[in-house]
Amino acid sequence: MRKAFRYMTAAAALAAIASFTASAAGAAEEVKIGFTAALSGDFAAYGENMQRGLELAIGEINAKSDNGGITLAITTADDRGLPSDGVLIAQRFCSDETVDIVMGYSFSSVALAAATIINDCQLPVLASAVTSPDLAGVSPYFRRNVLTDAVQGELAGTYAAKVLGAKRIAALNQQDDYGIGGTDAFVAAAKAAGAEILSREAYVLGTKDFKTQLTSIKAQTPDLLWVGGFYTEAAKIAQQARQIGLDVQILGSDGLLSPKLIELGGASIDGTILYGMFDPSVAKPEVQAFVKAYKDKYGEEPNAWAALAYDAGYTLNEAAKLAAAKNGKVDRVGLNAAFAEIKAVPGVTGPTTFQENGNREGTVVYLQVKDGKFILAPKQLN
Amino acid sequence: MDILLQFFINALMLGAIYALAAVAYTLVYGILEMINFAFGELFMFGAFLVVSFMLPQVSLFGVMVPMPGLPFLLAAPLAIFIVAGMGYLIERCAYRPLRFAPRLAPLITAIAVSVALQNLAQSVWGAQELAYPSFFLLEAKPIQIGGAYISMVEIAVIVTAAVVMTALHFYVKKTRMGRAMRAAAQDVEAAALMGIPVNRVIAMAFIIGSGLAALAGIFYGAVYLFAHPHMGFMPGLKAMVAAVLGGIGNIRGAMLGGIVLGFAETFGAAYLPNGSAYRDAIAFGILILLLLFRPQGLLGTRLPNRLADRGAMAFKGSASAIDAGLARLSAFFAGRDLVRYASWGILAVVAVSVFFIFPSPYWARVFVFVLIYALLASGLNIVVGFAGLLDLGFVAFWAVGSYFTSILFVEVLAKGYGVDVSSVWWLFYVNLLLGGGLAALFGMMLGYPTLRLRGDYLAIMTLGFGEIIRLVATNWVDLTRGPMGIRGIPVPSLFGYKLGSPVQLYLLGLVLLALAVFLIALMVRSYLGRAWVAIREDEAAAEAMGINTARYKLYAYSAGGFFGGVTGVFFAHSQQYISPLSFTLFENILILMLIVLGGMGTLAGPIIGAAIWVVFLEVARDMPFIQQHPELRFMALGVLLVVLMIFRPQGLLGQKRQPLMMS
Repeated sequence: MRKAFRYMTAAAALAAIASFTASAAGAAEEVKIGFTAALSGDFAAYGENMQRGLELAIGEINAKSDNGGITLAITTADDRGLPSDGVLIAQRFCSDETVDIVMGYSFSSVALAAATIINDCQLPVLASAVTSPDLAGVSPYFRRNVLTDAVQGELAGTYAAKVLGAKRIAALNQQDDYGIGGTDAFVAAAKAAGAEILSREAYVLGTKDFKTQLTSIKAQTPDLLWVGGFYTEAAKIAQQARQIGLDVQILGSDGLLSPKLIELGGASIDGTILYGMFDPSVAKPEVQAFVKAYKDKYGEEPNAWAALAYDAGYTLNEAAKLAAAKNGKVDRVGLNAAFAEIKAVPGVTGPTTFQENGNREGTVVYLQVKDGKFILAPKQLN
Repeated sequence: MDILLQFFINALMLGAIYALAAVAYTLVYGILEMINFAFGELFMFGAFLVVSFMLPQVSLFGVMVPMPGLPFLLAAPLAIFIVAGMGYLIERCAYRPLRFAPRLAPLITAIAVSVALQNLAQSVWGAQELAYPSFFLLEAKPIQIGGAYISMVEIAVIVTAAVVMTALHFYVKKTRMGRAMRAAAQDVEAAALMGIPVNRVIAMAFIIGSGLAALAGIFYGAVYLFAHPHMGFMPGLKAMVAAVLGGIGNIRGAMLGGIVLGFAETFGAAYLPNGSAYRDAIAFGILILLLLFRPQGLLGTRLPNRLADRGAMAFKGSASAIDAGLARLSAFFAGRDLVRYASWGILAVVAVSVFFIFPSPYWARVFVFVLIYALLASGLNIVVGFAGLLDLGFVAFWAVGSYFTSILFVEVLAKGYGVDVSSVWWLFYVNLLLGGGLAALFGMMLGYPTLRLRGDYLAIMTLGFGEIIRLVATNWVDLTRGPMGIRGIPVPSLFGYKLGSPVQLYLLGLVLLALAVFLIALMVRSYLGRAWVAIREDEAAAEAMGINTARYKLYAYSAGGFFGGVTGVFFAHSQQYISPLSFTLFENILILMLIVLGGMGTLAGPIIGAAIWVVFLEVARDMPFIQQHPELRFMALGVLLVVLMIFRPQGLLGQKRQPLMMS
């Protein structure tokens, strides 16, 4: 008797579970993201920021009661920043039928290595930190929600010469596709707008000591120092410039946009101008909500990497909803078609629309560090 | 003038930090003749601990932990004390059991410890840089001398370094323990016979060295205002270079070497063309020049080759339970013959892989990587396993092969002459040989200056060479497209039939590996191989037996380089894209660890090691724990290697390393 009762409860429980999953499955469509970025090694921090931003977006989206039956799931693979791992991971996601889209990528070279494989298996990619112009049109399945370094650099060069009125510019760039591409465009645009480029020097990502370069730059008496790189190095550049008594306006690329810039740079970073697609200081409710949710979850403020990955999550959600509405299901090809159709998906980095070559349309805002905070720079490029 | 003065200040400060850490290397080397690679990581722990103690709270393992918020002057000694303790523990647990092991063993163990510590730190403190909390030295206004500035921290660094090193000098010269250290440095065994407690002396050297490394790390952090899990790696290498520069084992030499390096780097970066991008190469360039012309270092004295009495890798049977168990397992593979054994290894990999590769292109791709790593490991194994020479620059050969074929196909033929690359499909096969040959030539060039050097000098020299090649690949943008990499490399094809699918690449790779193993087996079984093994087991005896050791070492380098180059060509065409990111020192260390894992000096070992590791890496991706902490995989490998070196130095399936045709 007792045994029978136990069986009955067990059966009832099973039935309940079954009916629950069945009811959910009626409309439910799980969209699985294959996330890949460098999560170990020297430059794991950037990948980690992206992972956090994306996971936050997924959590919020899945908590929505009405999301057209779409839920997002994620599987993560660490590419160590190595192109060879990028190839393996691309193949892994391709072979895994449940993966509908690849997101992430913290280094352009990893995405470039993966591009052919991902193209062959028609797996859409929505990258959010890779800015190499080589990636434009690399595959009809490849998209990114970050502006290419060429576009960014050009805007910044014009801004430096025309808006800030810089006449004598010294340039430092990170020795990689991001730093070189952005700085090439910056230099060309600044020259075209009438500024003189006094010097241009490269440094390797991870460099700690800039005093030598800054001492040489000091002797050139520039009125603007361009830094095409990431926040970790920019913070050191600002500090060491101050240490050797070089007092110059610093203008930086969007790799500087991180609260860590201020934390690492301290008082020295005050006054630095940079651009980005994400303005953490803006009073827009969705930005404020994002900053707060991120802080609550991870105990730190979000940076550009996190914000772009967060927006990519929502952009994917829009595309998935559109694909589900059209085809009744979400698959790779349908999702890819939907990406081409969605327009102006709102986000904390502004609206997302993709061009035919996979690049994002958009522009940047100029920010300034003031009293340990990012504020909108008083002068913008119109 | 101002600018020169500023350079001078910068250089002196940097040199002081290098000097402190260099003394750590030199102190231990002087007694044990061992390069403790882990000092770079102890340097990093010094900085992290100070920062942690000074902050009110710190995130450890992702959990916010309240911290005492100590003032710098309390936090620094505490951190130094803890790191010194860590140094002692590392010596006690990882190095002491290997005191009388062949000389490659502690060197490899030290590398493994370093890898484990680095990844441990990332698990504990996370991947982000930690900002250095402000304290009185940082808040003080810098002093202005003309147009040059010197900050209080910099003054503190220079003064403290000078005081500490002077104190150490007198400690070693005047105290009882110091005398004991010098005695041990003269001859460990004789010192022990004279009643000197050698174990205590060595422990003391590690404690002092670790403390110095921590101090250097604390200062480095304070000057550049950060702490990061990988911050110790480069400065550690540079300090090692500084120690060699001054004449390793010589404390005054280490100080001088540090300062010289600080100046060379600062002025080189300032005045050489594109110097700042190449600044890390400057140290290694100087090192290579020095080893060419004055291998004993600036202040060193030429030492007799005392190490020759210990073979490079001649393990005397370590009987343990694991050993017995694995021996039984190995017996299953039976066949004393090296070649048969190796074919078993390849067959095992093939047998296991066929079940995976055909149904899943993903697994096929994974096994392509198994093959690539197996090829690389087999090539490196010639140098490390058979000839007993540690090579930390092996990835350079891989890079040379990759870049050679990529530049030829993409930059020269396709872009330069507009050739349709599919019409020259045969060139891939020619390039396999040419790329290998070119790499072998590089191997000769690398080998030549190192001939006169002892094993550990050689390790550093190869390391420098590897880093230089990588930096050239990164910075010579016109030739290599730099960090952007070269893409559009055609897949291998045969009479116009493309071999681009993962399974086809796998089969092609398998053919290459079989050929490579066959060739290596031929070499190893010939007079050449016997000469290598003789050098490995006892260089002096080999020399005495009439083997021209220099010439055979050179052959080992070029043979290893050849296979590295061949692999590079295959790698480039199978991946269709290359960038300098693939050819890092860490990859080199990884390949080395795979050989040790599988069994050095065997033909099957590198293959088995590569298969185990690459497959494990992929399988581990599914573990939720690993998804959160991917760096733990490398930490686990490091720890495994240390354990392996102590309990089973011949590797997992190393059976008894073949005595080679002598039976």
